[in-house]
Order: sequence, then C-alpha cells, then structure tokens
Amino acid sequence: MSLRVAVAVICCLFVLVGAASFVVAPEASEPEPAPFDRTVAMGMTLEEQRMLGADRFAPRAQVAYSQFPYVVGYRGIGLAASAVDDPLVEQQFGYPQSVYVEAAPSDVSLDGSGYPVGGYTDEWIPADDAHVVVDSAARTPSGPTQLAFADHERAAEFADEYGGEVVDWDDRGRFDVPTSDGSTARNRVETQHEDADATVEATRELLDRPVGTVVGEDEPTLRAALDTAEANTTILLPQGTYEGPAEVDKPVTIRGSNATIEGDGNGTVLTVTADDVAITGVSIEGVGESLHPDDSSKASDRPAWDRATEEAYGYADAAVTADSVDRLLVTRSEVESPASGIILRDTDRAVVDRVRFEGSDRWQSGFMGVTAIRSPAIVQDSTFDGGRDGVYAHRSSGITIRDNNFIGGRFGTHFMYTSEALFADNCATGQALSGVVIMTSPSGIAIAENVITDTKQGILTSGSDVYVGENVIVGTEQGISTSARNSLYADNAVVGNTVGFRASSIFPTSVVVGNDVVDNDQHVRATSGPLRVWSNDGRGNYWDGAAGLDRRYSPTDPVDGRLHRTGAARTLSDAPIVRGLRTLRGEAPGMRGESVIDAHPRSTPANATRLETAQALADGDATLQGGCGA
Amino acid sequence: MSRFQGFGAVAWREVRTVVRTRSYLLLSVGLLAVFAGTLRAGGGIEGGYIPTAVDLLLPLELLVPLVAVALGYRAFGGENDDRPVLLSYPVSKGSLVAGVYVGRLIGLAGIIGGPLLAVGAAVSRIGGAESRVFATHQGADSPVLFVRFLALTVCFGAVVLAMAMAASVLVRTSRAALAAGLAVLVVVVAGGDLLAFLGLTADAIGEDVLGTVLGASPNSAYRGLVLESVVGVATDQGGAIDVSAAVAGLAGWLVVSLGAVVVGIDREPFAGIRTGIGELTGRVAGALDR
Repeated sequence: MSLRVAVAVICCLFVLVGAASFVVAPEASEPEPAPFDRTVAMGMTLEEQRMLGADRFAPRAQVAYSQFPYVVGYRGIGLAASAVDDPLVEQQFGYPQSVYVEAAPSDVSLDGSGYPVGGYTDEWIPADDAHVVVDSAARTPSGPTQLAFADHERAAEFADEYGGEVVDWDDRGRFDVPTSDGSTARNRVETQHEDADATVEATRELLDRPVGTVVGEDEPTLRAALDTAEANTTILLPQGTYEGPAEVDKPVTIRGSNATIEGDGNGTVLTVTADDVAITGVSIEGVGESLHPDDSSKASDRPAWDRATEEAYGYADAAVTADSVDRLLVTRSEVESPASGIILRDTDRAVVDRVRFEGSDRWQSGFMGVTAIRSPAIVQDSTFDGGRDGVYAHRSSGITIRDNNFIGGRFGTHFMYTSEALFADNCATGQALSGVVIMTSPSGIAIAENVITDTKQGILTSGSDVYVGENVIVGTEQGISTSARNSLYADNAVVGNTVGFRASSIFPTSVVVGNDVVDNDQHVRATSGPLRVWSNDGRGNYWDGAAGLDRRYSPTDPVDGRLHRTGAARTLSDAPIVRGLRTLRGEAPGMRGESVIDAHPRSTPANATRLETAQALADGDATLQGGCGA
Repeated sequence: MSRFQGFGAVAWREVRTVVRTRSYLLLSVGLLAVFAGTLRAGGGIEGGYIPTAVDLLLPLELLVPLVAVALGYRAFGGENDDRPVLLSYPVSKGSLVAGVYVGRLIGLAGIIGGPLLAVGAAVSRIGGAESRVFATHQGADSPVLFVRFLALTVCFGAVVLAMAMAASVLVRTSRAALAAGLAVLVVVVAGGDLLAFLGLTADAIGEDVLGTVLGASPNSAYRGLVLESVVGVATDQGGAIDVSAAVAGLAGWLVVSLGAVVVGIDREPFAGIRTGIGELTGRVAGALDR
C-alpha cells in the first residue's frame, strides 16, 4: 500500500513540476557583465587600438545574445547599438538578453584629436540606465563615438563642454554609426581602381622629361651624372653595366636602355630621397644580403609597435629604397635581390609598375619584393618570383596591388595594420603559406578577381568588413578562410582544394553567397565558433553534390559533406532519421557548434565561365599564363 | 469500496502489468539508445537543452505514438483479454476506464520519460559552451525548457494512448486490435498533417487560420507547442502555432477518446456503427424506391 502511495505522490510531483515549468520564466536571470578581455571583442582595427595608446580609451559595450554562449564585446557603443538591431545578427545569435555599456570616467576629457582621455572604468551599467552623449566632438581613430555615463548630470556637463546631446538607449537610432560591411569594400573596388589610374597617370608624366645627361657621353658614371644633372631632366643609360650604389637626391628620371645598375653586393643600390623620381628600363643587381638596419636608432620617434615592424622589415638591403618622398615611379625594370626589392617608407604616390623581382629560392633566406611602410602605393603588372613575400604592406591603408604575378615565396601579399587595400586581378601560385594574407584585424580590404593556385592556403583573412569576391582558388590545401567578420565572401570559384572554405570566426556575421564550390575533398571545414548560415535573402552557393537537392544543405554535415564524392551518400541522406535531424538543425543556430548550413543551395553555378576557368586550371588543361593579368 | 479505491486498485494493477512486462523495459532501453544515437549524430547535446529538444523532436513524433499504441491497443483485450472480468469489478465504468488509463499512462511516462530524464542529466553535465578564453553564459537555454519539453512529450503520449485505447474498445479480437492500433498510429503520425497539407494545397485553409487548424492534428499540436514554448524562447519568434487551439486540440482528442472508451467498453463492438449503416442503407433504399 505504501509503495502505491509513493508512486502516486511521485506522479503528482512530476505533474506539478511539469505544470510549473510553463509558469516559471526560464530567462529570469540576466547574464552578468564579464571582464571585457574575456568577451569575444570586435570593433576598431588593431592599428586603431594601438593608436589610442594607454592613456586614452574607446567607449565599450557588451551584449549577451539568447543563443550564443559567449559574451560579445564591442569597442564603440554605436557599434553595439547597430549590432543589436541587425536582423542578420538576430538570425544567427538570437535576441540580446542583456546589454551593458561601460561608464566613462567621471573626469573624462577630450584631447586635440577628440580622443577621450582617461582609463577604462570597468563600471558596466545596463544600457537602459545609461545616459549617452551623441554628436559631441568625441571620436576614436575609427570615427565619431558616443560616451555613456551612469549619471545624467555628468553626461549633461560633458555635452555642455564638448557639444552634443544626452539621449537614452531607446534613442539609439540617433547614434551616428557609419555602417560598413563587406559590400562597402566591394563598392570601393571600382573607385579605387580609378584613383590608382589617376596616380599612375600622374607619375607617368615623369617619363616625359627631356634628356639632360647621357652617361658614358656627358658623364662617366651614374653617380657623376646624378651629381650634375639638372632637376626635371632625364639621365639616359645606354646599353651596358653601371656601378652603384647611388643616391637619387634630385627630381630626375633615370632611363635605361638595356642597362644594368650593379651594386657592390653590400647595402642598397639606389636610395631615393627626392620627390618626383622615376626609374625605368634598368636591371638592378648586386644588392646586399642584410635584412636588418645597421643602425637600430632609425625610426625611433615612432611608438614601439610601429617601430618594431618598421625596423624588422623596412631597412633591409634593397634594389631601390625610398624614404619620405612624393611621386615615385619604378617601371619596366628588373630587380634581382637576395634581400628586398623595393622599399617604400612614408612615400606618397609611389607606383611600382611592370617590375620583375627575382628573389631568393628559399623564402626563409630572402625578403620582400615590395615593402610598403606607411606608403599607400600602387603595385601593378609586376612579377614577384621567389623571396619571402611578394608585397609586404605595413600601415599602408589604401594601397592598391593589381595585375601582378606572384610565384613561390611565403605569402604572395602580406597585409599588416593595413586597411582599405585593394588586391585585384593578381595571380599567385606556389606560396608556401598563403597567396594573400590579412593580419592584425584591419578593415575594409577588397580581394577581388584574383587567381590563386597550388598554395598551402589561398586567402587568409582577419579583421572585418572585408570583400573577398570573384576569385578563383584552385589546388590549395585550404582555399578561403572566413575569419574576417562582417564581411562579404561572394562569387568565388573554389575548385579542387583539400578544404574549400574554412569557417573559423567565433562570432560569424559574414555573408557567404554566390560561390561555386566544386570538387574539393572537403567543401567546408568548420573549426571554432557556432553554426553559420551561408545564405542570405534567398541566395546561397553552388556546391557540387548539392545541385538539384532542393533543400537546405550542410557542407559540414557528415552525410551532406560526402554527397559530391559518393552516390550512396544521397541514399543515406534520404533516410528518415537523417532527414529528421537535418530539418530542424537551423533552429537556434547560435547554440550549435562548428557547422555551416546553406539554406538556399543553388542548382546551377553562379558563374559558369569562372567555374570553367577554375576547373581547367584544376585539371591541368590551362595554365596561369592564360588567365592572369601579368 | 469507494470510487477512489476502485480507481486506485485498477490503476495499480495496470502499473504492475507494465512493470512486470520485461519487453517494456527493453523498449525503454531501446529508446534511450535511439536518443543517444540521434543526439550523437545531431550534436545537439553539446549545444544545450534547446538544441537537444530540437534534435529529439522529430524522432519523438514517431516514437511516442508507437509506444502509446503499444501500451494502449490491448488495454481491453490481450493482456486484459477478458473484458467481462474487468467489467465484473465492483467499480463504475468511469473509475475502471480512468484506472486503466492512468495506470498505463504512468507506464508510458516511465518508458519515455526515463530515457529523456537521462538525456536531460547528460545535457546538464556536458551541454553548453565552456571556454578558458571567453566569458560564457547560458543564453536563453535552461533546464526549465527541457522540463517543458518532457511534459509536452508525455502529454502528447497521453493523448495518443487514449486514442489507442478508444480504438481497442471498438474491436474485439486482438488481431483487429493491432490493426486498429496501427490505424491510430498512421492517423496520428501522418493523417492530420496530410489533411492540413491538402487543405493548404487546395486553398481550403487560409494562412491566417493555419496555426489554429494545426491544433486539431495531435502531432502538429505537439510540434507547434514545442517550437513555441521551448525553441521559441531562444529565437523570440512566436507564432509557431495557436497555443490555445493546440491545447484545446490535444485536450479534445483526449476527452473524446476517453469518452468513447467509457461509452464503448460494455457494448458490442461496432454495434452502433452497424446499426447506423443498416439504417442508412434502409433509408437510401427507401428513397430510391420512391
């Protein structure tokens, strides 16, 4: 009898608990604020953060999303505000359960640049309780910013002093946030090409100068010619070999005709210290082998992080080094160097055009074809064979690298602290690590219409607002990494790679559409981070194996991921249990791990011509020479 | 013997029948294996309670009716093969039906709920993200949601159990009982959804009433309630189903089925229907004569 009572009591208890579960609100406890360095943080490039330094700060916010287990940090209150209202973010991560903003220090002031002076307070207040000053003079290196205060009076005082107005979180529509994403970078491609054309045009004028000196006739040596040449004239080098090194310290054009300038195997061959210099039609040899400055006190007025890179890469021996000049053209020339080819430091309007760089056979012993330090140069129609990196860009935002041919080496092009660069119409093949790599979390780089083959990795990204579009990636170990967030990866042909895409950002907010992904051992490898939805507005990608599937497709799924490799996978994929699991997988994607879903896989290739080109390259039916600008 | 005592005795007899039948235990273990396999393949268990519920939802839509039919189709035949013996108990028909139903429902709750509880315990141990680098939080996920899921699943089972029992009183032989049980299974698993689908195709059901109409199909009601009250908490997107219609739908099937059992338990199976058909043909014949 007592057993019977016990069973009855237990049953009643279960019924009660079951009923109570519908009464209790499960989301009663809001997540607490986390230390900022423990959040998945975004906003501001590493360069911008470095520029703020230790005694200035960027206003910060953090958001806990209903489906995402990590707290997300934002450098910029406006950035958090726009993320909270972004439907793409909601689709992936659910709604914001809690939003905190960091209160500005009570004695905050603005310096001459408008940067807030003070430290991080770690005083996190619920966004709804915050008083936010908008439209003031406050800014960070990435643009105008809003400051949050716990105290209305303090906020009003700040607004009195620095302008602006105090508003609530509910008025966040008034936070003036310049919204940007990968499509911004895409839309910039055309104008950046036009701007580059204009710069190239401006440097080409240097080739029209009258001949003032003919070496061998008027002067015995190049050095002597440089000593006596008049400004804005051309020094002509007839066929032959001329001795370097030399310093070009006046605005002249050096025009060779089958001429070789030979250094002494020690140091840099041509050092340019004057504006408006052009070098054309020469071969430069006899470059020294040193990769480092002789004198480490150079560049010492820079902050440590900037100086360290400049010293490490900006003072190697080179064929041509230019420092702090405007308008430089190096064209139709050949460079052979065990170290660097052309080094540009703080150079404006530099154009490297139709240059052939012959570097070391082993990348470990060589250096960069073009090193651009704070120099938004244009590098075009050139060939970089061997050496370490074809182009290495440090803090050279706005640099344009187009129609080049990168062969071998470590990286074809290597972006450090460089935003809004354009890397277009290049070919890269045989790099030991990557065709093109973006490091140090910059923003707004466009990588468009390149062909990358037989490298370890094709395109390796970081940062945000990147556009990776219309590229052909063939025969790599890993085609495209989608580490850059808030970016656009569109219309690429990714064919015959070991891994086509690697999905790796922890907080994926990128759009991946219109890609033709064919004949890779594994179309997508997802490492860290949650489930990503790789389709947008009804547009998806073309995956071989998924054509005609007429349902959502998951390239990371053990069954779907093999559809293009065995017909039997389709039989298994139609099993009721497999279907059942698949059907609802996209619910609450932020809670799922390490996978990718395309809700609208294409039944036909997005760009059949590009795909054919890629397949011909993959099958060996075509060579790069046919498909490259250079 | 009071009415309650009578009910209790019958219910206890049914619970003991379920407990003594080893194959039910085996069924429960089998379910656990299926759940484990499903979650292993789906990966929901690492995600937390909500992804787990999402992964299990469709298998449960099939398996819960199966278990309910297995428990219900011979409630008044087979194991209790002598219906007159049951009816000879000194209890009212209502107490008798309630007792058999509740006893079997407890069995059903144990067979399905046991493995689900084990799954819930596993989620609490290994579910959710952990990171040494990043601060983590639960998000909208909560054990409360899994309890809701469990409760909804048992309620769904309860409704199908009642339907299976109703089918079993309509037939006399155990072979016919099996067929009737399977018919319930087909109706529950496919019938309602198929009707809704056909209705949509024929434009007979408008978008505005779809959420309400789905409430009439037991498994759609169950699925809708899970999406609404468990998964919907994370997505903040409601409208998976008209909740009151779904609850009313499930309650309706339950009440009607149990009512049918009470009414039909001491009658000749199909007697009414046979009479009805006879009357109908008679009238039609008469009408044709005229």
